[in-house]
Amino acid sequence: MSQKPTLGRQIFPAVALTVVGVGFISLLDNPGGNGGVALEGAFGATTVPMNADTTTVLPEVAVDPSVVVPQTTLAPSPLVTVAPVVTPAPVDVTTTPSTQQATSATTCDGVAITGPVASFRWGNIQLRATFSQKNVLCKVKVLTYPTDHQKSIYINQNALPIYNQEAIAAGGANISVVSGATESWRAYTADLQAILDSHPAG
Amino acid sequence: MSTETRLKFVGKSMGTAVSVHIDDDVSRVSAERAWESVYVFLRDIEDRFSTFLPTSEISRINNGELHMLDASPDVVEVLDACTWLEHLSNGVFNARRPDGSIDPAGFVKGWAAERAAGLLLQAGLKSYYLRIGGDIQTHGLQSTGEKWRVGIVDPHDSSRIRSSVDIPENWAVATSGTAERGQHIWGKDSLAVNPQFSSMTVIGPHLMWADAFATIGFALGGTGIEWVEKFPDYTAFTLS
Amino acid sequence: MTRPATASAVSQARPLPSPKESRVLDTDVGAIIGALTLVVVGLWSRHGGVAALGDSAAKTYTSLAQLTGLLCSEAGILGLILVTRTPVVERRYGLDRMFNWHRLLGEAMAIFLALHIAFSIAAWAIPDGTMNAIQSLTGKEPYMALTTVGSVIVLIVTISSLKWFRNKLSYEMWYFVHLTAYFGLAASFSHQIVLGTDFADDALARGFWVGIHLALVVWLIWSRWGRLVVAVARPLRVTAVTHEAQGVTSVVLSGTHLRKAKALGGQFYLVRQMVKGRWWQTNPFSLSAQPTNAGLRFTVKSRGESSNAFTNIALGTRVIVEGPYGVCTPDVVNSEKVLLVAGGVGIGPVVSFLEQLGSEHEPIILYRATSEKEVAHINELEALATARNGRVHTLIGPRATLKVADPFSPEVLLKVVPDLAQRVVIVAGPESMVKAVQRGAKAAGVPVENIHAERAWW
Repeated sequence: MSQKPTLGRQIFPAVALTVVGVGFISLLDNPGGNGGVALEGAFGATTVPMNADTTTVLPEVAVDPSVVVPQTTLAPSPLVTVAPVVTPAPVDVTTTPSTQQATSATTCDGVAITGPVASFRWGNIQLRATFSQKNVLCKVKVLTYPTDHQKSIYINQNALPIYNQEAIAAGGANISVVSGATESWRAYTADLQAILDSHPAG
Repeated sequence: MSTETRLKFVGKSMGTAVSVHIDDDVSRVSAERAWESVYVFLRDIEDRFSTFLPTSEISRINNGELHMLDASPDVVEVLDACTWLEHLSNGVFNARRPDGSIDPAGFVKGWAAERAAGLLLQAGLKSYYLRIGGDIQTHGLQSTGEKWRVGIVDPHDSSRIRSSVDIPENWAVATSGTAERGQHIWGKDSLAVNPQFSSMTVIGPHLMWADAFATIGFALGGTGIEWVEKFPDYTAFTLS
Repeated sequence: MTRPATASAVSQARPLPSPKESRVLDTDVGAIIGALTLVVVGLWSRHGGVAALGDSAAKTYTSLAQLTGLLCSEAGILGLILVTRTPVVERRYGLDRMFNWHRLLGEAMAIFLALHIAFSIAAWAIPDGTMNAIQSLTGKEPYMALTTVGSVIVLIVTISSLKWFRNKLSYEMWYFVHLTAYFGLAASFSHQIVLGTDFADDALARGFWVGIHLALVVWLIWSRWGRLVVAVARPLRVTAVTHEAQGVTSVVLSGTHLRKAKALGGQFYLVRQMVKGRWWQTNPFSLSAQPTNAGLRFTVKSRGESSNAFTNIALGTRVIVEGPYGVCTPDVVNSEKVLLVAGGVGIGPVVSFLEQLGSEHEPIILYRATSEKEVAHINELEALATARNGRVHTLIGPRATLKVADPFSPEVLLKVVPDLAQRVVIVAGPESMVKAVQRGAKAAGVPVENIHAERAWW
């Protein structure tokens, strides 16, 4: 039998490999962390170069409390590498048919659930859903993670459109422009927008 | 009915009407120049993307003359976005026709409109909207200081407005309805009829996404609104 | 009745030099396994694995699925490393022990795999329901159809290696099923780097994962399969066949390639006959005499179809040998006294070991056989022992007929070998006997590092 190895010989591989291992781990991408980075850029500069990635968008969005959501799913797809979903806590829920308009939030202080990170080609998204005391979805926050691609998104902090509930006959209320399903050029000429477009400038 | 913006321009592009309304206090001449740049840009987009033109890049990709990776950066950007939307929507949005050829028209309209509106910003304008075929990208506020107000057309009677929305500064509106089905949506349920509502309107910061999301949300039917509203800042509503 | 004397023509030849000693330490192995585990778990944790636990059902299941998948792969990697038969490792631990660890790692791997499958289905079932989740994971997601096939293969390989099943299968059948594990593991690899977030999203981690697997493949090809190719290129021939006792035969293999061989008595080889219909059967045979450049002597007990083929082997048959393997070699003994315990076919290595001991070792041999008919080499044994100032004790008979319940209990051992605690104990034989001897010797005061075993793992 050869002579007993020295202490140094014994512990050197363990120390060296541990150092290498820890070094390697610290070099890995860390998608964790709370919240992502809100990127701002001028509106219109949404140039998305090839293979660009994106995401961010963080302000919390209030959701119509009467829209009750049984599941919020980021659809799994070949690019989604993690099983998706945020499931509401113990609640029996039905989807209401949706002709609602979103307005402001109710007190949104119930259960909050965070889904897994879902990967898309243009970024990673994670949803945090908050429910009111009555187990109605009232807030959805999207957490996103910076990757090596950037997309500029203009974020308007004054987030919500204001809806006017009543049907408005043509001729009322100061409409600047109308939106509808795309009409062909021929249909346009007889259309409301044509009227808006045609008043003499001045 | 209406507020009157100072300067208005109308043209025809992509088979539909393009309207630009400008409320900045600028000379007509500079506004015309801005409009010209928009119009030329849209023409160029049509030349490059139209599946009806055999010389467009898209057509050339479809007949094998041009490889997707050799196309211009804009085309690549659009095709990438279509792929993303396809995955995002689990196949409901699909820029591929059943025979395998690509048709990104469903995305191009909103994307081009948003890009075109950006040209107006580059021209120094701050208070305007650009509308192509029912999709609108706004910027700033009206000269009165009020938000741009958008009327939503009744899907069954285009002379009636069902409701109106005040759009947050710089945001966009897109509406998808039965008229659009079959043209831009090759997705899974393209032949199914959606009984629950007749149009969906999406409001959000970017027209390219508002348009795509409206298309997808409409095709999804009952779960459409939930799907769109997963994206922060994007809200949807439907009209029956 | 006198028993025929065994041929010992081999004892005039020059003994083979011993194989190069290994300088691998236990701490080295510990360091490597520790570092690998650190990296695998660290990778999972760095990507958010720990933070995800307890967050929501979906996140928890997903995170656990990722962790168990990673650990399953790690067990597989370590298991495969063990079967590369790299000499520097084998000389330190012995192939018999390495195969034992390989079996344990294989079982661990199967358990992690089952957990990984369960957690993955649970996570995917949350949005889509269990049926849809299963459909996605077995075919709809890319590479999952292939992975499902691979997983089924791995589970079949593991189950077929459990004792109960293994005993029902012939060695050859079991071996061919086992080989499919290569395919099963390869088939599952793609989903790890495409669907596994730890690798799909992190290029550095992916590079590491692909790199480590490539290195493993190269290592396997070079070390395990390369050696087989070399063995085929250096065949030996049967030069003597002697029938010792009922069903026990000594076979001597010789050849010019022995000039370059290195081996020690007590080691074993994996032996195959190059005869049509038999070349794919490999048998582990222990050297039953000190190996010399004139020949390697193996003692074969007839136990099944393939060993029968050796007891009846014809002179001149071409034979391929891979080895030598095994650490139950005389170099574990310095000049202490020795106790050798042999059971059944373990007598072979014990004899070969004994030949290399001297009278300072005063060797005592305990020979356990279930019937007299099995007692081979007994004359040779007695002659060798007496020449070295030692003695032989035989214990023959089925367990039921023994006067003591446990022939290897410390009390019995101490009665037969009063100075047991000062001896180095070498035991060779079936697993159950080896365990009994180790237990008894330890209880009787033999320090654990002085007990060396060669298990008949085959």
